[in-house]
Amino acid sequence: MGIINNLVSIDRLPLGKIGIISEFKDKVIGSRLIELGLYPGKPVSVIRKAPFKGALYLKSDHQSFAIGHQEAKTVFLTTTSEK
Amino acid sequence: MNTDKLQIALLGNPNVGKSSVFNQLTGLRQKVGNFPGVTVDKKIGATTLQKGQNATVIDFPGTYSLYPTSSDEKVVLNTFANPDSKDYPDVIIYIADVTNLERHLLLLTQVQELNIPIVLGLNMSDIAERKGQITDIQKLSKKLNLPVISINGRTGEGIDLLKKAVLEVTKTPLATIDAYSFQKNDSEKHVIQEILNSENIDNPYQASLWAHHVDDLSFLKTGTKENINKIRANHDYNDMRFQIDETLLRYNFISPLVQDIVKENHQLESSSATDKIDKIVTHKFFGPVIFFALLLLVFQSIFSWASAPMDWIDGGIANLGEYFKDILPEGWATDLLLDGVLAGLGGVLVFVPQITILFFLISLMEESGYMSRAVYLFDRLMMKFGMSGRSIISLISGGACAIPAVMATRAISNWKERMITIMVTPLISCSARIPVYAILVAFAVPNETVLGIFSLQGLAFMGLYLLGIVATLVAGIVFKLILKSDAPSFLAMELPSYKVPHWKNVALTVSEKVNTFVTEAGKVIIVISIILWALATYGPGNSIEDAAAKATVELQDMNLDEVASADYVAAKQLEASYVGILGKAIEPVFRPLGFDWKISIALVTSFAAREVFVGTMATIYSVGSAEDDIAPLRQRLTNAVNPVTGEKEFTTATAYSLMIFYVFAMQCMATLAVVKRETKGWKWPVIQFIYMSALAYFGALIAYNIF
Repeated sequence: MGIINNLVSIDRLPLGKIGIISEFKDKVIGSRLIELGLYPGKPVSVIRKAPFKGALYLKSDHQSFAIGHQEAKTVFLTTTSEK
Repeated sequence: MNTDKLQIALLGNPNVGKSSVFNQLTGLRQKVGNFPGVTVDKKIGATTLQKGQNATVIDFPGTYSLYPTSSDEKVVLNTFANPDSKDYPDVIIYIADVTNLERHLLLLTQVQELNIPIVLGLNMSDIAERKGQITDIQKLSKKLNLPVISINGRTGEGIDLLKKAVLEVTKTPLATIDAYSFQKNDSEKHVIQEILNSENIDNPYQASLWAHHVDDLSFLKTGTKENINKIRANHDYNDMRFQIDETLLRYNFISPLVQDIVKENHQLESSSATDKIDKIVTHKFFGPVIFFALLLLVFQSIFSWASAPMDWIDGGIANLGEYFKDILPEGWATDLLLDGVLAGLGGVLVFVPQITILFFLISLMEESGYMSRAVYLFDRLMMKFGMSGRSIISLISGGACAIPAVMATRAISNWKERMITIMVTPLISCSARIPVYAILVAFAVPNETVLGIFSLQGLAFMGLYLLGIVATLVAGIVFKLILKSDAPSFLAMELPSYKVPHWKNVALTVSEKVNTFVTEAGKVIIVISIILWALATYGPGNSIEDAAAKATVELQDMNLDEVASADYVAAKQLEASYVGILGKAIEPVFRPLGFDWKISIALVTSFAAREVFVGTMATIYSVGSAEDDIAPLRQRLTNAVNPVTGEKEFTTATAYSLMIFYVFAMQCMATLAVVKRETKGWKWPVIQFIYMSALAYFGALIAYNIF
């Protein structure tokens, strides 16, 4: 049993699982998320997804956010998983 | 500081309830203006701080930080980075959501470095109380080195204290900010220092903003921009890196501060209620179902609830006209007043019920927090057509009337998405097209049933609507390819907790929209109405009188009753008027579409509004007195024969051609006036008129040749 850190983009985070924001690959989306208070170190989880590769419904510290599917691909999280 | 003309900026993040505070401060003493060079609205109001001390309040668009990601935010940056701007404030009232302080303090710490006196208003204190959250205001005030007032934008609680604090910060000299200092790396330090030296400014943060946003700052002179770019290049300035560093450093200061001063006693209740509602409202299947049910309600209400008040306005204006006709002396001035000005005024006021109802419902959706859920659900879909999730509201409302629909695009923050929505919305078939479709479908499509249940005429109607929708979406795709965007379009936003809408904000939104429409678009509509009226009433020389005299002579052999005789004279007079001459002059242009001079006249007059087509056709075909009854006109159209060629004047092919023409044509001066108002110029309405007319012309040409 060991704990390893994985880096995944938000769109690939399984529903309900918590990840910690780590990096932004897009300047504008990164800026907006930082402004919204979603900066590196913040926990996020994906609650649900809109149909047809639509937006993602996120929660972080009791607050809700929406982020587009393409936009979600530019935000990377660390997740911890047991192996 | 010159306190006679105190200028206050109201600043804060989106969804903070800033407009409630603005309304509390200014009441109805507000107006809408423009920020220089952009299409963003500037709300300005007057407030009385104390007896004899008035101040101007500017409500800035909701902004997350001085790193703009939309046109709205660029306005804020361009004002605050430019002390010479006429909107540059003497004092800032910064509104923050006390239940979400961490994020809301980011912009505050940025503007604080510009050394403008600031009063911090903590809004939503009632919600915080319900959540059992306690905020140590004194400590916050001390740590931030500025006055902090707990307020409630909805009830007006704390507004007086806020005003008092504003007066005080203007009197006491500025305290230097040493509450926090943000480390900068060498490259940034050098860049800032060199800009300070070479551009002769004294605020380091202002210099930093200039360095960072040199391309977005429209007030900078070319020489200054070149200088800054040179300095940036010399020191290898990396703006993305600095932005993230700066923001994270600010959060490093803000986060512990917020943790220190905010104590939460209970679980977040309202948040969990929001979660429960969202489980259904943003559900994959039920979400869209609920949304379309709501839109159906919106559509239905603009369509049916508005019809009664619209009839009252029509009737009222008509009665008023009758009344004045009796008391005023006969003459051209009376005609101008009654048939030109009063009719034009009626043409403006008739839209007020639709605008009122639409904006009542939209502001309920905005205020409650539902609108952002709609954006979450439909952004992806609308993106394909170059629009935003919010555009769907405009497109659906466009089914009732394009005017409120175009005005509703104000909520779309991305310029390109907003422009596309404005440009394509009038292609959705609005209620004014119904009378036109009705007469044409009744003429051309047999009244038969297909497959046992479907009325052929009903299917034709639906076909026209579908054609409009397809054209809207295709036009969206085309504009998406053509238009350049000023800011990237993307979706990343907060989904605020649900709130009960505040009636005062709803009422103010509605009255502001109605007011803007009547005063600004109204002017254009009245002017065009008067021109159209004059063209239809007057002719060169004595042509009208001659036509009437000639018609009276002809009538002697025709054996018609009084009403039919009057209709006959009216038809001949219209033919002799400038509109008649214009219609005949443009006939060659429309001949390939199967339109004769009579239809051409109706095309000219129906520029006022599409439904006027039916009235004009009725007048030309001498059944003007039949008013809403289309049967006599249909009869005349069926029997009309060209006296020279002996052919039918109005064929099925002509009817189809006209139907297609009216699906696409921008035959509505009121919409053009609103587009002019919303885009702040004639460029876009002209483009819109040309592209829709071209679409209409070629569509009708094809239709005429098929049928």
